[in-house]
Amino acid sequence: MNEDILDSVLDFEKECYDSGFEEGAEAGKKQGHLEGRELGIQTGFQRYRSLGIMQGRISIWKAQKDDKLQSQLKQVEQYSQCPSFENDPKVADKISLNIKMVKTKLRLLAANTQSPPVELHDDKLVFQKNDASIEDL
Amino acid sequence: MDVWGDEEPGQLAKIKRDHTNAGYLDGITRSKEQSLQGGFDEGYPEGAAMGLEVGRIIGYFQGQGLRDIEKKAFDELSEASLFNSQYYNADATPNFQGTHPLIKKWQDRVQSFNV
Repeated sequence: MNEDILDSVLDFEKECYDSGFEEGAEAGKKQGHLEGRELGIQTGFQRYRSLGIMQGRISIWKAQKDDKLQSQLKQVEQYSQCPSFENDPKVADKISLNIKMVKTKLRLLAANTQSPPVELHDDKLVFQKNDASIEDL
Repeated sequence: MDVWGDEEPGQLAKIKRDHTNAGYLDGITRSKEQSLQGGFDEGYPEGAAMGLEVGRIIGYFQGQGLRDIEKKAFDELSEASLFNSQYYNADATPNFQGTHPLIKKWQDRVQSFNV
């Protein structure tokens, strides 16, 4: 086989590879985006649901006329606020920390006021991994 | 181009197929990795906003001691029932505008308890 022929074979192979690559890249872009999106929706949902439950519980206590209770609520309320919905490691850290901080206090409040026990449904949250990077999930 | 001569017409097709497939596989792997995080960052705030609303509903009934209703809300507002093909298109975009219909339904229920 002379060099000219070898060159054209190699060119042809590269041409095929490149056109395949381009096609694959286009398909992967859509697939990756879709899979990431689905995972993102579910991760965000679980993380903020616990925060929402805390806010729901607090909203009911806030309606009660009890000065001591109200002053206790003031201390915990700031921790149940929602800083932002952005997937930012710092925000995620803050939320996880807040949930941890306030969980115990809310449980005590519930016991002291003879309210139903606090259940945040956050068993699935893994607190040591706060930055929601895809590789961690 | 007739590299292999008439006696081996299949060879060229085989080269084409093998190399196109190899390229396709590399291309899809590379671009999938690159687009995953972008999709995740796009979906995360949408899920977060819904999670917060759902949590408020559950927390409300939990605080009222209405355990049966809380349980029903929790199940009906689970990921499985919120994020399925009834409410989402194949590309994971919502087919509803504004608030998710199930969340709206339960928000109205909370409202009716408040009046």
